[in-house]
Amino acid sequence: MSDELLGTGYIVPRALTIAREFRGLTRTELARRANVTRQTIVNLETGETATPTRVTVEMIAEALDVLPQLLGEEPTPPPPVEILHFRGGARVTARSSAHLLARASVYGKVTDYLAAHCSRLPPDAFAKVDPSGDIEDVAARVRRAWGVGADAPIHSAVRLLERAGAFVGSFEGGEKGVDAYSWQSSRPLILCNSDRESPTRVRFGLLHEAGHLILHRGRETGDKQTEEEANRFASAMLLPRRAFWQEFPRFGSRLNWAGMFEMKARWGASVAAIVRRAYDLAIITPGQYKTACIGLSANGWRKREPGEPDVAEKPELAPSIAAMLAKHRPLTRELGLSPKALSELVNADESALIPPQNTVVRLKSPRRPS
Amino acid sequence: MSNRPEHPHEFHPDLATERLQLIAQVVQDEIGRAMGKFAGETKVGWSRGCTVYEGVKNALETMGLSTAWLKYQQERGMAYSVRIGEVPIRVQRFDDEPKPAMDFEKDLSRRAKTQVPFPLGMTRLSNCLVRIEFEIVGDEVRCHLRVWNVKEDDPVLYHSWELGTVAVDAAPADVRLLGRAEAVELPPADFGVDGAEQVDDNDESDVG
Repeated sequence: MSDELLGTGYIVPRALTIAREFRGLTRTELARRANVTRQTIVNLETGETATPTRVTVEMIAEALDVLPQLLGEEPTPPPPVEILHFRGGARVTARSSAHLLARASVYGKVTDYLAAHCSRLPPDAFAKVDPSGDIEDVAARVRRAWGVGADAPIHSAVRLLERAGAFVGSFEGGEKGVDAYSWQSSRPLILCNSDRESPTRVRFGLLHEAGHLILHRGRETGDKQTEEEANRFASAMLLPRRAFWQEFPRFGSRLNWAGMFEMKARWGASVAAIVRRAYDLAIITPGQYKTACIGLSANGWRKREPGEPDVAEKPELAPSIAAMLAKHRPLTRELGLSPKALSELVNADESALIPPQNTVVRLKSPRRPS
Repeated sequence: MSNRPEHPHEFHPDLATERLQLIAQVVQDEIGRAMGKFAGETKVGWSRGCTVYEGVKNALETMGLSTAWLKYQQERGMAYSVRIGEVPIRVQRFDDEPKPAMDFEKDLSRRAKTQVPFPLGMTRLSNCLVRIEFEIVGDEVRCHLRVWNVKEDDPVLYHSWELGTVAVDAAPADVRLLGRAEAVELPPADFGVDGAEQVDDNDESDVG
């Protein structure tokens, strides 16, 4: 490695900040990993040091698991925070928010790249949904239009959303307050928390975000009303009213827990969601709902509910496109990310993103006459 | 109309919007199913009407068996009624010419007058009929809850609340109304990748 001074503008301050926040690091943590001083990071992020050495840039890039070139490119602006829809049980801390926004920026850049190199993708069906009217009716229309019928369980929420034109990704890293978040870019983008131990909660979170993207397009969300509306949409999608009404287990005035767990297995919705749905549809009384909530808490099912599927749903579209593109293009180099970072971002196998050594990349050119 | 309740539950607490919408959805689904069954056929209005009647009736009867707040009651002949909580209700097609009260409706209303604790201010409604009425307008099914005040045999509309309007969606005829639909496994999202081609290092033939 050479310690030559690089020219002005080799590091774009905002790009470094986003790359650091994408990794969820503080300036101090990054400095420690990159073996530079915190002041160096501060100076680069504020633009006070415009001419870092090559060694410094390479060490920082390595610590961030990105390629040095990424730090020299104008980043994709993160989506405005007011159009991001967060689903979670707690307030998002400033640090989490910065991390999620930076992740949104990088994920947006990657999905824009993937979409730009596709000749064919599902059209954005979210934009075609008429969001007016009762949420139950909107959900019923969506179910029919998206091919899962009015009264059948949804086999895969991820696949449903991807077929409707969304890119679905995931994030890790203990953002405890956030189950999922979404925003409308050139396509609907949804990221869900893969640290969640409950696959049924992940499904609900994905459909909750779909609710925001359909019902609250261009609107600020996060208040009680919009969250309840998105929850209602997710419930109506997962547990359509008519079928739920027919199948909800009744046992006199007592709650039929065994029956509800059978429903959970069939519909892929948590018992907590089933109980809430029964209450919303006035199938159980407020008293029964209260009893059910106490039962859920007393059994520890609020934290860990039995009967969860073995594995959570995984994104399919972005990893498949990335793996296919990687056979033809130096994907990671063009995106400025290491294979490991890209594989985490799009949920693809790292090995599938490394192009074969004996492959060069060339755009297809018109055939010359022989 | 002035001083009319804004929501059905203000007229009677048992008439929760959720309950009414659920019944409205049964009606709308049945119409959609009947449309699907007779799609493309002509002069089948009677058969289609019978199919809707039978489908709604059977669905409500089944629902009545399994829920506390809904009771199905077979009346004389082919007539039937349901009760939402304590409120007797008839489900029928809307007609511009209000249908005269059927005997059993008058009987229900008479019984209701003494049994149903209508909110204060509503007691002046003697002989009150409550109906869920549906109409097909163009390709839409509209459902209303209507309360009729019966003077002699001619019902006079007291108030109407819209329960929902949906486009008639001709459901496949083989969709079983009360069967357990199994999950449809959708294929993965379809995509195609742009024209990049894999070229061996040694292949120089196409390089200009």
